[in-house]
Amino acid sequence: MKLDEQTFSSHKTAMLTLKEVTKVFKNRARTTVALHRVTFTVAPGRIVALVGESGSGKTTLARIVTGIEKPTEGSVTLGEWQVDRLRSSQLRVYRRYVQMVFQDPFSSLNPHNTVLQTIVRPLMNHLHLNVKQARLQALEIMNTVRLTPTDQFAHKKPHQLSGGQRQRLVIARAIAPNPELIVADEPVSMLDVSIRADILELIDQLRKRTGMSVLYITHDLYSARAMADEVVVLYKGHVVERGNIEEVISHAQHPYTQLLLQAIPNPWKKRQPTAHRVDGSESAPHFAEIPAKDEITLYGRLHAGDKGCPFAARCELVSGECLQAKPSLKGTEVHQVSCWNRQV
Amino acid sequence: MLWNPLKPSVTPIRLQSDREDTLRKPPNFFVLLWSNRKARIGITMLFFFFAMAVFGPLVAPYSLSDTDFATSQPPTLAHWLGTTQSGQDVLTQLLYGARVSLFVGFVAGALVIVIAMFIGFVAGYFRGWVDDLLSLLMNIVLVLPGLPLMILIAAYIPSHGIGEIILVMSITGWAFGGRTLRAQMFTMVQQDYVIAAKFAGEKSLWIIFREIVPNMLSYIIANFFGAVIGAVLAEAGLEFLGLGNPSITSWGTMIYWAQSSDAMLSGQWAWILAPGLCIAGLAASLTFINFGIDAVANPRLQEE
Ligand SMILES: Nc1ncnc2c1ncn2[C@@H]1O[C@H](COP(=O)(O)OP(=O)(O)OP(=O)(O)O)[C@@H](O)[C@H]1O
Ligand SMILES: [Mg+2]
Repeated sequence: MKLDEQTFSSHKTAMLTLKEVTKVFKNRARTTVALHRVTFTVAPGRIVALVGESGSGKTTLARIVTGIEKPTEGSVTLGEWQVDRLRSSQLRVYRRYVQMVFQDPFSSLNPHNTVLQTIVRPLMNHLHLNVKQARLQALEIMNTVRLTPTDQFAHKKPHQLSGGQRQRLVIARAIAPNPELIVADEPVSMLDVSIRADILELIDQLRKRTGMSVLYITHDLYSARAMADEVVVLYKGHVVERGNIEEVISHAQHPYTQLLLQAIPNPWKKRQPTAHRVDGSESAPHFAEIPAKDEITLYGRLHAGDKGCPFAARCELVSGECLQAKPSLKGTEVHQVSCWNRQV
Repeated sequence: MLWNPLKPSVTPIRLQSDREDTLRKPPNFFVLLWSNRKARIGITMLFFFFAMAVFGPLVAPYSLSDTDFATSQPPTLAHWLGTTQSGQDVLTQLLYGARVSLFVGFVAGALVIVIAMFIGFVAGYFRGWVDDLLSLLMNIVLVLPGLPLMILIAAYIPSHGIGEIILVMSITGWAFGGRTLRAQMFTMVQQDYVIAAKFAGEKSLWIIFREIVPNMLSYIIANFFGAVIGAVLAEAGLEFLGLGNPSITSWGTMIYWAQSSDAMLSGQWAWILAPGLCIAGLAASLTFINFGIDAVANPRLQEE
């Protein structure tokens, strides 16, 4: 039996469960609610895409799931691990089971460490291999992520690798301890467009081979569709829609999800004249295109955030109750939406 | 070489580069440093000062205890840098003094940087109440005016040997470096590669000393050299104020005696200039090496 198969057992059972996770950042100047009662699960072996524009709280969620940060309220569990209660000594052990792929492959690699050192360390720390075993295993993993020929890459340092190779190394390091869950925070957004598909495909292959689950964070629904089984759409820290990826994409209900879908460039489809474009900035709701409603003032819409629907300021469908109370997720396990004016 | 159609001609070339790639060891740090022009100047200068400290007493024209020359002479052929008011040869003092000044500078500098690193790193890495406590300590030591504190301590300790002088300077001198190293560590800890090291299961001490320190080595060495220069100057300052031990011969005591016997007024410029230049030259050599290290320590700037 190959070493590789020994450690990459595909018997993984840990389920990631987030219940009512809220994160509030308090500064002297202001308080930011980065996440508001976020609830969803990632089943073993599944890829769940977390989609949302810049500032929607994706990275905050990743940091909470991996234990870098504690939620203000709510609970996070991965299998037996009660993540939000871990002390720092327990966190070190927990990280054998959850690993992270960072957005920027350059800054997440220590410029002084070689490829081999980078992969060997988690093997020694988490799996308690000795140096010799760890080296053999690391070469095996380099083959798996196709950093080949291995003898050529083993002693290179990050600055001698291309962007794609660096990200392969980051992935190699992440899969080394054979984790239950990998959190990938925009793993390809800093890479050249031509190699993005390769990296995503690699993650997908590894998922199939090792049985790990993946929380794939992206702002682009298109790549989510290519990768994921399920999708969670986040807007200003609120889950506005979630469910099976095909189901959500083909029957998107929430106006924000629809906006995201329209933002996907589709050369065969004509632009609809009323389409709103998501440009990633929070500041430009297209008021001109929203039909005026007497009882709803501009002020009311912009300040609905605290007690009303977070999307009210940009929504076409906005009605009185949207400013009064927050909608909650309703629907089936396959498809849920959080909107006063839409159901599944 | 004959062209063989069965062996494509590119093969040997690729093999060669493969071998080079895998067999080549990372270049030695000092070899790299030597290839930097500024560092080369600095190392040469520093080497000169070390040679002075080691061999100075051997090549000195007279003995340190010879006090029967004509007093307060300007430079002559017999006394290249003149003589002191008590009839000693200035060049002899300069050569002997190198030993004390360099010893005090490097030992006190090393002590200062070790304390500064330990306290600064612990504060910057662990944050929270640990940081609050250590930052308070650093700020207290920092606002206590250094020289008066040294004077106070120096006035209370019974003997003023070299060891005591070094001790006084270490106790009073670490806070500045400690604070800059803390600030540097504070930003380093937030970097992705440090978070990644935690994911790799590394412990705090490993992260600080094996992951972070190599990335701020040039910064630490800069601080060390700064501490060395500071110690040499502080020693000179203490001596200059008469709080050291005037019977020791160092560049500092030389300036002290030159000053107190009005060397400038009697035209003995060499007496005061020579130790001053030595101190400045030592500082310059360390600064040059520092520039070189800056360029070399960053692997991204290293050439293939
Ligand atoms: N440490 C912090 N202190 C204060 N506010 C923070 C902190 N971290 C994040 N925030 C705020 O929380 C919100 C969500 O930030 P987050 O980084 O999670 O967004 P994101 O979805 O990852 O965005 P991007 O796509 O740009 O990476 C933002 O409004 C941000 O300003
Ligand atoms: Mg982010």
